[in-house]
Amino acid sequence: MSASSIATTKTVEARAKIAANRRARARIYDRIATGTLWGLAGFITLVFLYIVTYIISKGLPYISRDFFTSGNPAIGIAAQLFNTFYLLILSLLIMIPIGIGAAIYTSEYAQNQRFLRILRFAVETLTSAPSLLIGLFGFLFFVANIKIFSVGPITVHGMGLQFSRISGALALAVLNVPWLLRTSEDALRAVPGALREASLAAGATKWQTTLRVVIPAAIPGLVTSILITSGRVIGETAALIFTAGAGGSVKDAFNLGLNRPGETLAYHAYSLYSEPSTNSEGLRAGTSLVLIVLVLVINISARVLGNFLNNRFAGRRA
Amino acid sequence: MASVSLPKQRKARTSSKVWDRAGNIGVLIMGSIVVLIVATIFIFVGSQAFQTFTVDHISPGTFFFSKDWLYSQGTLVLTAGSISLVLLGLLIAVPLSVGIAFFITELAPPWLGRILRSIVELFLGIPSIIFGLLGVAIVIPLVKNLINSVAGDKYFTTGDGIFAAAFIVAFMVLPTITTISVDSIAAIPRELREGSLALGATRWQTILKTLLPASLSGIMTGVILGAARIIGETIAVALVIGGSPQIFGIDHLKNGQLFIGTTSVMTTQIFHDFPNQATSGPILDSLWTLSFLLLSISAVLVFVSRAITSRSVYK
Repeated sequence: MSASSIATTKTVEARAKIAANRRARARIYDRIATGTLWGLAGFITLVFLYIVTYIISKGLPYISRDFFTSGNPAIGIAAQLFNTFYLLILSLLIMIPIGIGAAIYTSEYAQNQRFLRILRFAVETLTSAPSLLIGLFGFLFFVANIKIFSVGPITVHGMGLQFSRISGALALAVLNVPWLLRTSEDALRAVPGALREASLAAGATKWQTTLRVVIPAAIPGLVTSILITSGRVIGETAALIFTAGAGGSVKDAFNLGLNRPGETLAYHAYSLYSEPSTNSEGLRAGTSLVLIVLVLVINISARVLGNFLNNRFAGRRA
Repeated sequence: MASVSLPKQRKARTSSKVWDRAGNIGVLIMGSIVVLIVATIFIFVGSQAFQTFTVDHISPGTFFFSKDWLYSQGTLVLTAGSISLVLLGLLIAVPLSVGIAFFITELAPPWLGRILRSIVELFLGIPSIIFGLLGVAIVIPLVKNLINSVAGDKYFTTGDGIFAAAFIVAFMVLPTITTISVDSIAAIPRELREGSLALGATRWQTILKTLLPASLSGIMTGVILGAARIIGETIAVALVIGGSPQIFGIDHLKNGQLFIGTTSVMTTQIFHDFPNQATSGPILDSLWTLSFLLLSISAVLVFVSRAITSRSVYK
């Protein structure tokens, strides 16, 4: 009897020891995991800082006044800078009514669940469709004027807009409209329902509520969503290669012709790589610098401005 | 007094009703335009894509599996290349993104989490051409030195190929997977964490055994959308993939040179060949077929990700 009770004590002790060991091991694993996760966070921060400093330090020696002001592609990027903003504005003009209009539909009006499901599926498919594919579609539909297909007596041709700024802007709009829609829908949905109810209770129609209550309250979010979309538009390359084309001629640099080819900064960086000339390495480093600074400034100001306007207009914290 | 102002009020009310109706129809039209755009893309690209089979009379079996098609390579090189790139890219990206997501939600103080999230989101803004040029300038030499020093041969590989490409696309999809994971981990109710900790689990055990299973559907959504992005990535991959007509793995193993890894993927082949084609012909048609395949893959992946999201418990 005594022997068995000793044995029991022993097993209890042994069990306690095993449990303590297990706890100790769990604590060690916890330490290792915590260290690893901190390491990952540090790593990704370092990679980001490295990328930015690398591009800036490589490009800085080539930045000069001529680099910004010369429309001659062998010296500067004035033409590409101009085209970048021109295409951005054109594509936003096409995108904003469609994107924000559709966002108002999905967040305020949509009642037909079936249509809403189709719309959401379409938007998500378009968001994850390769930009290359939108470029090819743009080439087929906007640029070329060949016969695409025929159904009975109806023959569908391309629009024949050639490699031009308007073709490029249309392709950019198709590519980015789902982003604008999703981000502005989030902005509209963030407006508290109580505001809508108060407006409707005061006798305003749905449209008046949307126009005078919901949209003003959502302005900070809408500005952010337009800026974030702009950042994507500026960085786009693949879709423009098949639509906007390359326009290196100095003569065309600063006219507003929609039918002129329009080479943007991102495309310029690519063509300086794929068709190198004597000083293209410096030009490419400089172009990359300008491009990344533009994109970062737009994205960071989207955040900062969004928060600032949010506090100012809507009187609530993000 | 009321009778004097009544017609005016009624008129105002009627006009605001008309505007209400017009506004409703207007935004509905905008929504329909978006659907119409997507339908047009499918119809237009599809109409070109099927010419490979209807006009050029190439059987799908030949198209996808024969080596006697498309410059005697077959499209198998390209589809296999895309699949390998997705797998290798996700192999790097998933642990990194999910780790950072757990760091942001569970470990970091709120201010640090916010900064890190901003940095991760800024990655999303970096244009693919910049990623491609960085790949040429930084990643290719890195891969070259790494593999050559392991192989003990200075001239074993030039560094371009699927490994450099996988490394780059991993960083490109990192923000997608991380932000979706962060959102789905943050949506897990506090009680689950507290329950696990109260039972004596360490933080790591809580993450691994409670939070990871609970957020798995969200993380999977991120991974699938990441895969879609990798399959569609063009410029960044085109600059570093090497563009050789070898099926990654199979052909390289045959030559005993798995780690050279130069290959082609669907997007880069289309990207390089499309500008060189005449306005019609079987090769152009085949490029359209590949494009339509890309579009269909996007649609299927979106469908799958939606199915997973709709099954998730915590939103």
